[in-house]
Amino acid sequence: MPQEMLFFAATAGAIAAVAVLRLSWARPRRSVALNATGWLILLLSLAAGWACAGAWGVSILSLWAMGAAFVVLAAAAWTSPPARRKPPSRRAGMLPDAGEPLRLGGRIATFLIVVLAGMVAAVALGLATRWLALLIGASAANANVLALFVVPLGWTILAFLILMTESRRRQIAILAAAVATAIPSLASESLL
Amino acid sequence: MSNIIEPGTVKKSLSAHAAIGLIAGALLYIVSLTGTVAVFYQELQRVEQPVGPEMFAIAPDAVQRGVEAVLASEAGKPVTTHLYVHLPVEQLPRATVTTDTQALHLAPDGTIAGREEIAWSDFLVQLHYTLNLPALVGITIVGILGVMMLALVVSGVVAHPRIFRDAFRLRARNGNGTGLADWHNRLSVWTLPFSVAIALTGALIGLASVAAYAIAADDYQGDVEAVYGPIFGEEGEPDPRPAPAPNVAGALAHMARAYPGVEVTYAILHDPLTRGQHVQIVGEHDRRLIFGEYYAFNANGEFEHRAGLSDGELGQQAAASTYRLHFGTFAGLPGKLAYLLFGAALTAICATGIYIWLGKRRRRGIAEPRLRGAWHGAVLGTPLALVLTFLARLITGNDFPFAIAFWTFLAAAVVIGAIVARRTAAGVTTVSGN
Repeated sequence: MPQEMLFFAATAGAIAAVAVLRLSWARPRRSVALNATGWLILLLSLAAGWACAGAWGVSILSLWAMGAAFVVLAAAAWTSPPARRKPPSRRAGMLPDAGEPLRLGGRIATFLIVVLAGMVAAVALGLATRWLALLIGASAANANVLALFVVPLGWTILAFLILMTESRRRQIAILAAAVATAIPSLASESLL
Repeated sequence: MSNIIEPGTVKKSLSAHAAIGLIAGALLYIVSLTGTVAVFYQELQRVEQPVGPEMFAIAPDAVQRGVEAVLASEAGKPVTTHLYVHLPVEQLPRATVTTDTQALHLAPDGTIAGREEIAWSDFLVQLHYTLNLPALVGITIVGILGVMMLALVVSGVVAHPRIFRDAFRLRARNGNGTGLADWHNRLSVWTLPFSVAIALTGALIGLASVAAYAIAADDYQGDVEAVYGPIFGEEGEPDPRPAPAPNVAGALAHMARAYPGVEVTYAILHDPLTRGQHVQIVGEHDRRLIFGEYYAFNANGEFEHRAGLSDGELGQQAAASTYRLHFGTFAGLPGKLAYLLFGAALTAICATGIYIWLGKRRRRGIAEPRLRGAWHGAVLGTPLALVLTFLARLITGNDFPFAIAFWTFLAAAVVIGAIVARRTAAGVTTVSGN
């Protein structure tokens, strides 16, 4: 029963945290105290959710917090006045403007670097992480799962870094560094 | 945030965000939409085949009779390598036996009640999992889309310097582009935990095959099953010599006695009717993200061990938690409704991203009516194609070619959208020229 009460309080806390953040961010000037209060309530709620029901508890509380935010957003949409604000004009630079060269070859090369070379590099990061985990004594189950998680996460970071880097040489260097991390795993005997 | 991130970084991040979104946007939209609908896979099965026999529970002896009846129905054919018994649960109160070649519903007494006919629900799930492509290629592509979604999350956050200050600002009634951008940004920010969870688990599930091949080649002499063995449990040694059907009833009776708090969802027979056969029972644990624990039994129905998904290595628990977190099945119907809401938001984010980009270009004088029309076609055509294929299922039956119909209709919608938009734009130009 105390567990149920704590989980109920955590749920209420997650919703309250969104309300406090709403109050804080709606003010014309930032309030450090309100901001901190909102984040603290959210953190405490998630910690209580973890204490009650582990990852399941955190997942449920996250759904409640997101749901509360959606309610606030719906209210904002409902009460929104017809605005005449100028639309955003930040250029994404994805395709050329009229008269600019298409640079199709460069775009295809970037795509291949991110997707094909990125996958190879991400798998290399996965192998390296697994090898390192086994080296420091992790079980085969933990090491294998770690590798399975690192592949998508590593690829995400690599894709972001490559797309943020304009120099082709630097892009290749990033990939080469990632691929090189797998050398100890590939060159050494099995650690199992 | 604006003080932390350099304007140049924000600009580059926006370019990266646009590049990924434009390349992967259409497929991400399809995967998001189908995933949102597929959350209700269990409920859809009951809608698709409303007349299947339903029950709150089924007796172990009835399951045994059902298993033996299904195996007997395949006498003279190659013996199935696996046999799955879906046991009745709250959201799908049906007992169904699936082999390598067929799926049959059981009546409460264990007699065969008829074929399972859920081809549309299965098509929907396959569309989400593999885009109806061959399994390994399709699931890897969908895994890559998961990575792209994660990269969109990262680049979107970096490209959004006023992320907190604007977190609740939604100028919904602004039709000149600001409203659309607000919807895209606010929904993105507030679905961030959901998007990260969905994208990461989806990428992990999708790319697991590629990663496992690499690990197997590096450390297991190419044996991919050996990669998964320490995580989900080892398969037994095969022995193809014939044997009578295993004692599934004994295994289920043991579960009821020894684990009354565990909800049994599946009985899985490995290599049935051979001496190498063994039984696995899948049991769901309350208030856990794991899809269940594997309880291993020998052919006599005697308990041997648990795989450790519920209390074993952290890696085992984490791996077993990815599925229910991805499919939204960890909190009953309320959880599924939450996934419907956030999944719909994620789908809207995918759709609005490309509209925002097209709008910016139009405001700079670069009108692309064909591209805009094609995107209209994709955005409207995808849900319409799903509805039409579902209607075709109800009207024509289980054998309708759903995948061919879906992709043909969608391609037609994209082409027609482009043509109509081009003609409309040409008409407007002519009129304004006159």
